[in-house]
Amino acid sequence: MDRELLKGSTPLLLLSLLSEGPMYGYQIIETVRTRTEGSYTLKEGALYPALHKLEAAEFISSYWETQPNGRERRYYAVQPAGAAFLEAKKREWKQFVDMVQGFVGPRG
Amino acid sequence: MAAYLGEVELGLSPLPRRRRKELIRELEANLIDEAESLGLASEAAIGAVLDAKEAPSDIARELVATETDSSRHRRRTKLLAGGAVGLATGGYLLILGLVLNRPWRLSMSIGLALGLAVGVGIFWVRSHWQRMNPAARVLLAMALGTLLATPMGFIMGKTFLWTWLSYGTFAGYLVERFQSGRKPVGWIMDNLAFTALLFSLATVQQKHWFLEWSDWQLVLRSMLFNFVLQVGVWGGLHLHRLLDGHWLLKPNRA
Repeated sequence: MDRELLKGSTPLLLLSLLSEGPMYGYQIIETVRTRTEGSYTLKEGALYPALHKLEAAEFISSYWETQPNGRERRYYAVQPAGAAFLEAKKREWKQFVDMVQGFVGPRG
Repeated sequence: MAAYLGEVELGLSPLPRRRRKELIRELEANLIDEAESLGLASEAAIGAVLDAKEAPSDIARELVATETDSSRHRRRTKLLAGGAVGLATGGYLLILGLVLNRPWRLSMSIGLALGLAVGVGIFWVRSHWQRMNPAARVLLAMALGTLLATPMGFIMGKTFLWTWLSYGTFAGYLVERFQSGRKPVGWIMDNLAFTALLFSLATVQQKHWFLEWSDWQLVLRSMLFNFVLQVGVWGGLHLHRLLDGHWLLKPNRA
């Protein structure tokens, strides 16, 4: 898989995951690994800067939550501006896929 | 793990201490989650996992670069979004001032106060109350907008006109209300409500029934100014989001 393409898509990938519900860092890494069947591993040096950028843009927010075992985790949750941005990008993505499909897809 | 985190922290030295501690706390939580998930208990096993990770200095460099870039981006977008509010209201008042032969300095002062103080101020601070419920956010934004509009009360001279504060209240309300979209009917209702509020405040301030409904020009001008403020805040928010979107999709890593 083209890693450059994936790098540019990380914010959208994260927004998409967080739109399913709040998640903490390692949970995101594991979810990405599971869903891509191990073909894409999000490293800490890419994940946290991307999350912090999304937070700086107010597309997501974060909060610390104490677990029953006393440990703390920082959760990230999508904000209305982030949800709106994701929807707009999904529409653009669909248009792009449809357009490319018209050239490289099977011809009827 | 302590040594690994210590090296990351060393690389984070350009950042303020509080932020540095928070980033390390988050990374530590991540590493403990990973160790637990993999069932690692011994230092040797954890060390082997850490050896396979990115170098601490690389993680620190990415984090520092993002923090610096974020601060720059935040400053620029807040200023531009607030500037849109100031440009819309100041520009409108400038044109109105020319038509009504009023001093241009007044229009510029109002534009600056509304745009820079109220606009930038609310755009800047609102990130701190993001996790509150929507009603509380609207109330906080209105309170802050009112407070930041205080200089506008002195704009007409020595007498403090607190009716001007209502524009700060309205701007604060709009910033939060427009966050999740607003239908045209919402725009109309907001405009009518704040125009009515303005005239009610003017009545209390002047200690007599301020509004003669026959003076339709005054009503129209107030509604028009409120509409310009609505457009300014809406435009500022959209500009903010547009810049955020471009910035986010810019690749972070070389």
